Amino acid sequence: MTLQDFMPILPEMVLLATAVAVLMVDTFLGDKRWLTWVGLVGVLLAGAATYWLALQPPADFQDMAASDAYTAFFRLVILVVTGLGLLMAMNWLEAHGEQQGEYNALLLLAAIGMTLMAAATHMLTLFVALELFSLCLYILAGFERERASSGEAALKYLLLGAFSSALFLYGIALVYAATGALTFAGIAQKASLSPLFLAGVGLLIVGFGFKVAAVPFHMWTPDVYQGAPTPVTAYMSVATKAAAFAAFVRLFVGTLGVEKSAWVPALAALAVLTMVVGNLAALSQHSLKRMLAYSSIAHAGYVLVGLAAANTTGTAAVLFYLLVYAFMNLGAFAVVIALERQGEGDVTLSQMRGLARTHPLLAAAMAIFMFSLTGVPPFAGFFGKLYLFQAAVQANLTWLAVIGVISSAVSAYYYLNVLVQIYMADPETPPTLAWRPVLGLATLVAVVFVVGIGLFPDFWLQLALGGMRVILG
Amino acid sequence: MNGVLFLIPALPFLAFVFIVLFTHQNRRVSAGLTIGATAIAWLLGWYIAFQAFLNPDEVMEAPFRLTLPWFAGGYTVFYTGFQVDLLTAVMLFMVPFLCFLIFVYSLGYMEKDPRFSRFFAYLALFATGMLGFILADNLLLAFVFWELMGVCSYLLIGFWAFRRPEETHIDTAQVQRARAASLKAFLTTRVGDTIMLVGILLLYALTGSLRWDEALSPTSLKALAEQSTYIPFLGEVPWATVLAVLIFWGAIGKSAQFPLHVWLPDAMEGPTPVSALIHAATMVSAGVYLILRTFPLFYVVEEGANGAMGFVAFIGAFTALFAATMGVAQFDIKRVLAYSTISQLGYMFAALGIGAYVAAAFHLLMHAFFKALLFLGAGSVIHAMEHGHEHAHEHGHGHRTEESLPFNPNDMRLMGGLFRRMPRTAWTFVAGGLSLAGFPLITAGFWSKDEILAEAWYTGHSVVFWTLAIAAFVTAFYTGRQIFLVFFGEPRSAAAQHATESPTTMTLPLVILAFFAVAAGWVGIPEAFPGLGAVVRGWFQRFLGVQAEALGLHVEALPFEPAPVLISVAMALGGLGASWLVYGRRPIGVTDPLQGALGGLWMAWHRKYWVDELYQATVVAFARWLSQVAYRFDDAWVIDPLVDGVGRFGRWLGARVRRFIDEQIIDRAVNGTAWLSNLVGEWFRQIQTGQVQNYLLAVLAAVTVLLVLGLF
Amino acid sequence: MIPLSWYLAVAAILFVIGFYGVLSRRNAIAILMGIELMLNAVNLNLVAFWRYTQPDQVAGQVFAIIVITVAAAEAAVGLALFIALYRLRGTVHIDEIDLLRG
Repeated sequence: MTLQDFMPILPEMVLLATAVAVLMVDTFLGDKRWLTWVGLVGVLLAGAATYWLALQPPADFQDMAASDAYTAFFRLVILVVTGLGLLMAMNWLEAHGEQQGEYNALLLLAAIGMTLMAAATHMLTLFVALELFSLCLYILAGFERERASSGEAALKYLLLGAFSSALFLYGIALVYAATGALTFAGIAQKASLSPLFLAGVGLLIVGFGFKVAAVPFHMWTPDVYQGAPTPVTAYMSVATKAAAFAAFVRLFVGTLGVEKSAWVPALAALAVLTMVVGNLAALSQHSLKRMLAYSSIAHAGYVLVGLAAANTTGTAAVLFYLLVYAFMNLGAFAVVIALERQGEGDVTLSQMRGLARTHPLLAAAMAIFMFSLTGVPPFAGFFGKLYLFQAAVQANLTWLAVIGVISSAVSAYYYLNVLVQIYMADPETPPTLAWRPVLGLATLVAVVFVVGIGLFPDFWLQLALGGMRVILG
Repeated sequence: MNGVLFLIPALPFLAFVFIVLFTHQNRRVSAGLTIGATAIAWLLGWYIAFQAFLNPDEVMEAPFRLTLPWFAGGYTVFYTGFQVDLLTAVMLFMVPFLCFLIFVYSLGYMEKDPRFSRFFAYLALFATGMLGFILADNLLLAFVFWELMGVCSYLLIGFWAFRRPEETHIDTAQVQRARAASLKAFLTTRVGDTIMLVGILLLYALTGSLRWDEALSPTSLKALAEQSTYIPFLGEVPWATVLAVLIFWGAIGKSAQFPLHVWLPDAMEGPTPVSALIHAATMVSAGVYLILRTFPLFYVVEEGANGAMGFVAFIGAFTALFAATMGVAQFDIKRVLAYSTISQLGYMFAALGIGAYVAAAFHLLMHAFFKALLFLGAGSVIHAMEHGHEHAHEHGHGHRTEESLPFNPNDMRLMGGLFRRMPRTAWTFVAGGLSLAGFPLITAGFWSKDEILAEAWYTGHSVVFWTLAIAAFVTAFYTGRQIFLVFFGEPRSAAAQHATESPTTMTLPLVILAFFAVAAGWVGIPEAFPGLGAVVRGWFQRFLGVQAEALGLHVEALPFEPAPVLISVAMALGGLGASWLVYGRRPIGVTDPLQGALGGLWMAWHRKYWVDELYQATVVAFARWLSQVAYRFDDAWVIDPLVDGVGRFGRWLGARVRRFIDEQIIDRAVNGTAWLSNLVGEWFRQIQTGQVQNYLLAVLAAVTVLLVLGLF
Repeated sequence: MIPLSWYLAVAAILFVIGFYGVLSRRNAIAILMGIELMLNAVNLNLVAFWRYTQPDQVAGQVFAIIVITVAAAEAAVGLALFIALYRLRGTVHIDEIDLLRG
């Protein structure tokens, strides 16, 4: 093996080096704020490496991982999210006095796992990548050790996550037994509808269902999202989803696409359950983080619609939606971080009252995120949903699109309820803000993208279509 | 004082809520609530109005005002509120007073209706809409109340569309007609409202405000007049003109002007107090009020380049004559009045179109009094006819009509000779009729109509003047025709023979209104009028002139010109005289004598120029055709079950909605979404126990289901 | 030679025992042990498949070794988290850890 062989995973190598560098800097440097900037520089370098790789012809790393347009798209999404995640955590870490080096390093390591998920073309890579980012997130979820709910979130996440990994692994073993192959290409060649294979695919769906928080494998999500430190929740709500869906699409639409009939009904059913339960459960939440958790479940349902469509439009729509979702959900969580009171780790809906009076800019940003999550044009979320449901109609799954539209109409109630609180109610006590320039920068970036993608969706759709062509020729 | 402004619309609203929620079982309490709330609103309204009458300059300087932040949009907060300036004061004098009188009248008129309480609830809601509308200090709030009135109008026109099976004496055709009429009214006015909404949005976009005094401030008006936009075929048009025309379309719909006039005659299917209040005195004149409010927008552009004023004048004058002619050939007592209302509203718009701001407001006020009186009088007649009909049946009197017309209490061909049987109704009706006809010197209608004609003459709008003058002749003619057909001659049916005077709750408002229909006009006798003018000195003109001056209009007391006055008098007397020649001189049968004389022209009037048929053949047919095409298109490529499902869902929903209205589920007043979230959401919350192993168990179940379904 | 199905049966039984442990145990550490058991059952599967279908390649074997490593990492992280939680709450009984719900 030469150095040249490592080129296809250059961004991951850069991230790894950055993580190590962050730990080193943490040991030798007093001013912890540098850690964020070091991490950010690493993310930017990894982004540059991704860009450089995207200009090269597609390559693969020992049949384990591929560097193509699809990988590049998700590397881009995850790197942007990681960069924003670092920024959003910066002030929070200062305020909480937690170990900043470890936090940033773990975030970067999780990012490696996530980009590898997108790149994986071998079951082994897939499993290791999955475990890599999951382990990092378990720790991050319990990072606020003095708060009981944080530890509880970590414990639940770990137990349920490890359990789902076991099921997932069992699925891999069964598929291996049925096809005798562990590479995606080999599995695609020998796929047949034997009972072993079907059982294996079923367990794989369960495993992915856990990671993307699809109903009925979603139950850890609200508890963990609520309990975990908010910057962590923000990060994992978007990055985990992007990574898990990246692998989900490559494995199912790409590799198992030939046996589509075996898994499309199951995914369609999951999509329906996820959209309906996610949206209905979100209706009666008082905690903003918990509401956003259920909302993220519902959004996983929308993405599953695109996955169940399993056609070119659907695949491109999934990619596009994950990009859009990353910005709007991160933005919403950034506002939550800003509103959070010291040591409480959560924000109730009533705490948002009268925000528009005291902080009109922040309120306007939240309004944009909520409108986009609802799917109101001209914001990015509208086009995301439009493409997804369009794909379902094209795939003769019109009923699925109809349910999607209806359930997203239900979602308008709880999203707009946030705006009602912000704009129309008088505050009990004026909201106090942990509002710092860096967090403002992160929010601004999210707003710019949510509005920008909404106004010029075509450029981003072209990127997604490029990624789609890797999966579906 | 400013703080109580909100009470004026709020009190009737509270009455509505109370009736719907609590007292709808109890007729007397429900009616009492509505009338009580309106009475307080009336007293408050008069208190404020009289303050304005006594100190016009002070009030114009600092209008009564109540402002609240409504909602924040981005960086700006939208303020809303109520205000009373002189124009509002004029309306505030008229609206709650008429509401009160007509509500009292309804006590008698609706006495036997099984849904008496609901009727009063709707009336209270309507009062909320109208009072809120005149008090609103911005266009958006006004629009909200405007639409609220639209809804009430719809509900009340169709009040008899939901008659229950147990009310067996109701013929189904009437129910069908009420249903169609309410829908027609709602949809037709919606056309105007939609165009107006575009205007409102544009106005907000261009000026950043919808408050009367901000959006229409001199600076923003100047900007609106100077900036222009390109419109195909018309070239560069000033924004002010565009906005004015768009907003005027709302008034066209609401005030039933050509070409959206078709709904108002049909709206007479509603109970008569509704016709009097909503479709004669208040709601339909809201369109005029709206133009009075936004008048600077029409006026600001230089005359020569101003399409908006010309448009308003044309629509108004045309409608005035157009509707009057149709009124000549109707047999339904209320429809005659409906066409007369359309025609009189046309007068007001024509006045506005020639810049006669004060005259339009004056005529609006006078018309409200005498037209309400006429409708209530007609209601009293209809009431008497129905009773006479029942009475005649009980005593086994045969039909006296030669060519037996089906009994219809509204049909003037079956009336006649009612003067002796119901003198109080007759006297007051004649007073109102003379006022409408513009009987010289003593009636209110003469002074207000004369004011408009004099303005048209003085400002040299000869086309408008002559159109209105001819319309005045036609008006006097059909009014005389109505009076002669209803009250004079011999009874032409058993019902008319057995008719008796209505109860005091009905006749007392008639008497009070008759006083206003005659005397109210005296406040506006022009200063220059020989003799009488010296006494009153044009009080009304001077009063509202303050407001007009503040809006930047040029107002001056007109010099006395004998010509328009003489023409006006000649027209009124000529029309009345002509009607006596045709209808009063000798007894008539079921065929109108005029039909023979005029033939085809009379038919055109009788069939309302076939406008309904025209719309049916064009707009409605086109909509049908479009829906057919869309249906085919759909049929070809959208899955049938989906379409069926939507249809079934629609029917299901329709049935639900109807039940909702019928059974007054409103009184549970539950927010549907809150209910859903409580039910389903709480259920999900209970499943989410927080126990890891419960979650795992759910997963086990799901995995089992998945594998079983997958493998077998 | 013992047929493949026997290995698979043992692995399945082991998996289900682990599953049962996860569902029935109240102590978080015991639940973690159940999960480890499940992972090892899968390892058994992987190795058996490898041996019976592709003895000439190393993929299955390597996979098993990596799974063992990952399981160890998971256990390490898990135990660390449990200790942290125990210091705060005085218990790692799963029934009592339900602040977050609804």
